Amino acid sequence: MNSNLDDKVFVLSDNFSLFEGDFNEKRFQLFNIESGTIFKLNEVSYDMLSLFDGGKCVQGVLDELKKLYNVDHEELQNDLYKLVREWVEKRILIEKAAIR
Amino acid sequence: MQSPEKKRFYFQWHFLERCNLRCSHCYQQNYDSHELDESKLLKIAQILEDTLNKWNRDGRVSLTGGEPFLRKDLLLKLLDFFETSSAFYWTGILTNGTLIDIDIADQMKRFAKLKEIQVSLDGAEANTHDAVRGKGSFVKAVEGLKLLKSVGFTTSIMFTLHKQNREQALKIIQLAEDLGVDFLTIERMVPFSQEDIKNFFLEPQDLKQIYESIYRRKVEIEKKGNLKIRVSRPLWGLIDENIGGFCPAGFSSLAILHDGTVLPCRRLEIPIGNILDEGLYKIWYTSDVLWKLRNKNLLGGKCSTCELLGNCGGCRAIAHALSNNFNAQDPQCWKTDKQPTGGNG
Repeated sequence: MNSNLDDKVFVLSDNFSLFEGDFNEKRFQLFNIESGTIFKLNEVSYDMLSLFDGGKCVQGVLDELKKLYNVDHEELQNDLYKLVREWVEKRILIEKAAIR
Repeated sequence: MQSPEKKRFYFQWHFLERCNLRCSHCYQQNYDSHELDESKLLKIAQILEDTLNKWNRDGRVSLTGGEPFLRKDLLLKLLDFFETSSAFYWTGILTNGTLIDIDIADQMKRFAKLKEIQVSLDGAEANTHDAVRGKGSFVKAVEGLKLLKSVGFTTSIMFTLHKQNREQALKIIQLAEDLGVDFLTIERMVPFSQEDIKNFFLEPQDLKQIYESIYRRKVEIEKKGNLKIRVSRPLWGLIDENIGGFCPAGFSSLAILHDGTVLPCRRLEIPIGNILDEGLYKIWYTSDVLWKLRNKNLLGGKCSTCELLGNCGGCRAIAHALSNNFNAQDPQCWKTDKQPTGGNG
């Protein structure tokens, strides 16, 4: 399952918009611009979603995250896969193409 | 009915561009565009309602133009829509007052949510008002106000203050009182060209003197009568720290033009999208202009360090007009670093 995911390329759906703002505290949000729903994100989730630019596969995103966060590889990988599946199910991420 | 626990949101909707007057300080550049047809207007109204329901906010909407009474049919249709809308608790009309007759006044009486009709006056006498709006417009506007009062509407006057009518500010208060008007709003004019700046722009110290005299008169007049003078906008807090307010643009208000173009404020002429093409969520969530307006840390000049920031913040439209930077300091602010504030003048 994970290996299937590794090579897939996802991009943020056109129905969603990411926001990062530095007010008196950092704010990370995901907006559904079709339905108006607002999702509050933490910084890690925001970084993960930002990396899905339609150019990198999931493995590529994981590699980028490893540079950003000094955490256990396996833990990071599991978190990413779990979130990717959730975001795909909610149609936040759309599969662009398999690169293999 | 407005819910006390809900936040509010205000729309100023210029649903048509056509106007029967050609005011010298008008923000419009054209007057002859055809308004959207009824179905598109109702589509916009539906978007506004859906948005407020999604956000769980209580809505207010002012319907205006151009001159809204040029299309009484559309005005009544929109009032009908908002009357039955669960999302809106308040509607208002902003007009030059010259086209109001007993027939339309009677028809509007059926709208319980129509809480206020505002007539613009630029002077307390025919010569000063007509110099801005055209010959004969003062008499018609005052007659319109009297008619509205006679059938029981809550009325207000909008006085757009600038260099050429500064002497009229106190006189307009007296006129409002004499006419039995309920509210008076005094807004600073936003210049839209170098010529406007030369002809209309009030220097900070001049504005300070005028605001001080208006505020003194406000305190006197509100002790004895029904007229209320609205002072909930930026810079009033420099006169008395208990009044004034931070501009709601970007937080809880939007302006919509006759073709669906959305502006942060009618006087801040920066288009941020079209409601018919993009809907409202995309504009509200993704507009860079709106996010910059929301971030008080981005305010420049003396606004950035002012202790009155939370209750003032300056007018972003006037800052933009004068410096092409809507986050610049308000160019009409008279406060200096050494000047104490909130001392009632």
